[in-house]
Amino acid sequence: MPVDRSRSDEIAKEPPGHRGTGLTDEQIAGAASNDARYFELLYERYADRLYRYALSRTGSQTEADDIVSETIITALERLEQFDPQRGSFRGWLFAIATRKIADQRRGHRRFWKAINRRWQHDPPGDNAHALALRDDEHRRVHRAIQQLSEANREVVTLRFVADLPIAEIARTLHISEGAAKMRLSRSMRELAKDLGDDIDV
Amino acid sequence: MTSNPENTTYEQHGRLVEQTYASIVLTNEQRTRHRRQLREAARQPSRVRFSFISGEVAAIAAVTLIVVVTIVIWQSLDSSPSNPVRPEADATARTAAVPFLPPESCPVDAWVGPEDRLGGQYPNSLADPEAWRYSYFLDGSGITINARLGLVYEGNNDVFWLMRSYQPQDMTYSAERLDDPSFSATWSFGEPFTARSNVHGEALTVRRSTITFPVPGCWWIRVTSQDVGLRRVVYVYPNGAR
Repeated sequence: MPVDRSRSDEIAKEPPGHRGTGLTDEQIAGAASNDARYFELLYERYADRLYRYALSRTGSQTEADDIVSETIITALERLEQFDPQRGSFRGWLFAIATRKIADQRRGHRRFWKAINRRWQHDPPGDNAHALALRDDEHRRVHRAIQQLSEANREVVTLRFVADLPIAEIARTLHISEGAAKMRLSRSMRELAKDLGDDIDV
Repeated sequence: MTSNPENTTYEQHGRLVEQTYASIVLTNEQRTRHRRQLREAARQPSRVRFSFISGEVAAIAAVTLIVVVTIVIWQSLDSSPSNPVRPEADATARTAAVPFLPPESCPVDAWVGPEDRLGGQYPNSLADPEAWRYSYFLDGSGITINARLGLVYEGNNDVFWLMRSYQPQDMTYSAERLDDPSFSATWSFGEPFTARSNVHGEALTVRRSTITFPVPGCWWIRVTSQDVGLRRVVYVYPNGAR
C-alpha cells in the first residue's frame, strides 16, 4: 500500500468514531436501516451536540442525559421514517430531541402543579455552577438563556447549540422560515438586553 | 463590507451561546450506557408494544388491516392495459443508502451533498439531467468531482469535473487501488463546457467523464494540474451492489 505521510496525518486527526467513514449522515442512516449497528456512527457524531442542546434547554444534567438516551433510541426505532428528501438527518434528530424535551416539560408541569398545590414550592433546577461551565461569563450566558421563554430558548439553542440552519429550524418547529428568522431575531434581542454589551467573545 | 451593529451584536451573542456549551461533553460512563441501550434496541427490531391496546381496539385494527390488504392485493392483480401504469420509484431520489460501510482500513473522503451547485446546468445528453440537480461533490483544491449519489461502483461511473481554471494540456488523471496499485481505472471524457456556480457565482469549466473501475475496493483518485489538484480516497462498491 502506498504510504502518504500527509494523508496519514490527516487521518490521525479524525475523531475515533469518524475514522474511515467519510460518509454523509444520510448515507449512514440508509446503511443503519439495513444494519442497526451502523447507527452507532451517527450516535458518535451527534451525542455531545444533543447533550449540549438538551442541557441548554433543560438546565439539568440528569434530564439532558435522559433526553439523549431517549432521542437516540427513538431515532433508531423510527429510522425507516427518515426521508432525506424532506430534510437532513441532523434536523430530523434534533426534531426528535425537541419533541422529547416538550414531552418532558409537559410531564414536569403536571408533576409540579400537583406538588405546588400541596406545598406552594418551585421546582429546583441545577444551577449553572453544577454544569461545569468554563467561566463566569458562560455561567451568566447559561442563566440568561434559562431566563428566556420556552419558545425563545428553543429557537436560540437550535440555532447556536444544535447548529441547525434556519430552514431546518423552521421544519423542526413547523413554522415558516420567515417566522423562524423573526423569532430568532427577537430572542437574540432579548438575550442581548439581558447580557448587555460587555461581552468578551 | 459594512456591518450592521445589530447584526454584529447578534453574531457575537450567538458565538457566545455556542462557546458557552462547547466544552460540555458526555462522560465515558454516559457513552457506554447509551451504546449499551442502542445495542439492546438494535437487537429488538420490533419494540412496539401492543399491551395497552384493548381487545376492542385490536379487533377494529385487525378488520381495518384485512380490508387494506384485500384492496392492495386486488389492485395489484388488476393489471389490465386500461389500468394506468403505476409510477416508478422516485428516480430523482437525492440520496442513496450505502450498501455497506467501507472497511475501517479504507480512509474514504466525505462527499458533500446533496447540493445544487450548478443550478441544473447539466447537459441534455444525460439520460435524466434533472436527477443531477441535487448531487454530491468531492472537493479538491480548485477542482471537484461530482457524482449523482456520492457513490461509485465497479464498472462505469458517470462523473463531472468542475474546475476553476482549466488547462487541458497540463491535466493528469489517475486512479489506483490502495492495496494494489497494479489495478488502475480508465477514463473517457466529454467536451468541456462552461457553467456558472450556483454557490459562488463564478464560471467553472465542467467536463463530463466516465471513470471505469475494474475491481471494487479502496481507491485513490488523483488529478493534478498547474494550479488545481484533487487527491481523494473513494470506496468502490461491487457492481452487484448498484
